[in-house]
Amino acid sequence: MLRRSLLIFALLSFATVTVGAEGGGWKQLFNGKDLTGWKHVGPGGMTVEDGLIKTHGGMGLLYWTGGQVGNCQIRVVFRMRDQNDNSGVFIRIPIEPREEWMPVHYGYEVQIDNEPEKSNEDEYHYTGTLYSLTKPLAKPGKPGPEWNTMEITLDGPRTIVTVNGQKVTDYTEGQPVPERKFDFEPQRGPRPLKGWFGLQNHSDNDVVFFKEVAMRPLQK
Amino acid sequence: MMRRSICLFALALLVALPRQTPGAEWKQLFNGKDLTGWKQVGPGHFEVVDGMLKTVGGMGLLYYTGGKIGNSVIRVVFKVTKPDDNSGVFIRIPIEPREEWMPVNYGYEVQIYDAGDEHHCTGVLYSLTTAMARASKPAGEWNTMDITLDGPRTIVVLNGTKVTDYTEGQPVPERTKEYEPQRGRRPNEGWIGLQNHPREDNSDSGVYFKEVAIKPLRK
Repeated sequence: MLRRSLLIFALLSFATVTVGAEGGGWKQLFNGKDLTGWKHVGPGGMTVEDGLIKTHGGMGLLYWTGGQVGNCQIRVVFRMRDQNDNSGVFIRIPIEPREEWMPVHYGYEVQIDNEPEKSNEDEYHYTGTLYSLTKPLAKPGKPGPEWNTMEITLDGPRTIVTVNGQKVTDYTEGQPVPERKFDFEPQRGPRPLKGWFGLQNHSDNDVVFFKEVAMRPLQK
Repeated sequence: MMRRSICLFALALLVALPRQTPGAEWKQLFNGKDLTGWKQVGPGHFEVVDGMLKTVGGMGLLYYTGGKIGNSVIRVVFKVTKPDDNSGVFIRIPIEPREEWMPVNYGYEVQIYDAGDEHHCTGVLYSLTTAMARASKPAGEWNTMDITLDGPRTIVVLNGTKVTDYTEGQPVPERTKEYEPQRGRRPNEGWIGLQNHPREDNSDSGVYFKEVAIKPLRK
């Protein structure tokens, strides 16, 4: 019986891998038409126009209602309306959000902002960093209206972010981070291995469009 | 091997049982001397004065670092100095607090505020339940508040009188102020803490706690 179970398990595993290999295994979380599967909390909102998610006002977030994710990759394809606009991708949010600040303080925001110096912020606030916590390994963000591809890898306690193919962040829980400087910066401390995730709408002055949000399990 | 395990298990139970003798089952969480086992988040703090915890400034909370609590009775013995002193007991906080607003929005505050209306007075789940009675002692006298966490049911008894009996999912009033908690279900088990909250005029509330204890629910 044990051997038979193992055999079935092996077969199932093989089947999963095979299916996952098709189309890179990416599951599209935005259907291109409406916000089915997503929910907004906090000020502002998001709409769908011409197949794109568009941010309005803020600060708030549109989170994916499908539950906690970990050991996976999240791919986000976005562009700014202007030369530069502010947004972000929240990850590792420990509980389902009801407002906008718990995600900031208990999750991470993978930042979208190519010109943090214009809001008196240092490079720890550049596109692809874990907002205020990590130093960018590269600055590959493209200004609006060019498209950017961001891939976020959640590998247990390790978070890797690439933007347009270049690695910006490679952070493992427990590594040192700078002290908190502003009251809107996240509280320090460990984040969970799995969490809810969402897209940030930052302010009236910041408009960012998303054309793809996809996820696939980690392939090892 | 199996039988031996059962035998050992039974023995272990026998050894464990005598500890749960009546009267000895309350576990004191405040040692009367210092803040060992507790941690402050948010503005203000607590002082230990003559064996009591005293609220200073705020709004913040002092949470118990021992982990989540459910299916238990929490006993808090407190007194206020003035009728508009403000404090509370946070319960059912889903994750360990790092600041003061997540506990408000994702947990409950059992309110301590005698000047509040029926949804914001001592013994209610702040802004969510209607007081079944007003049972506070006058300022300066000790109050005993027993908060029972029975799965999804929360019962608050103040000086022997039931003030709240709420089960998850029952209707609550709409949220009318931005500092009121977000609505929605709370977990059966959560972190707990004591609130330090200033008065309306921003002076320190003089709220004192002399006992914080828990015991498991017996069924």
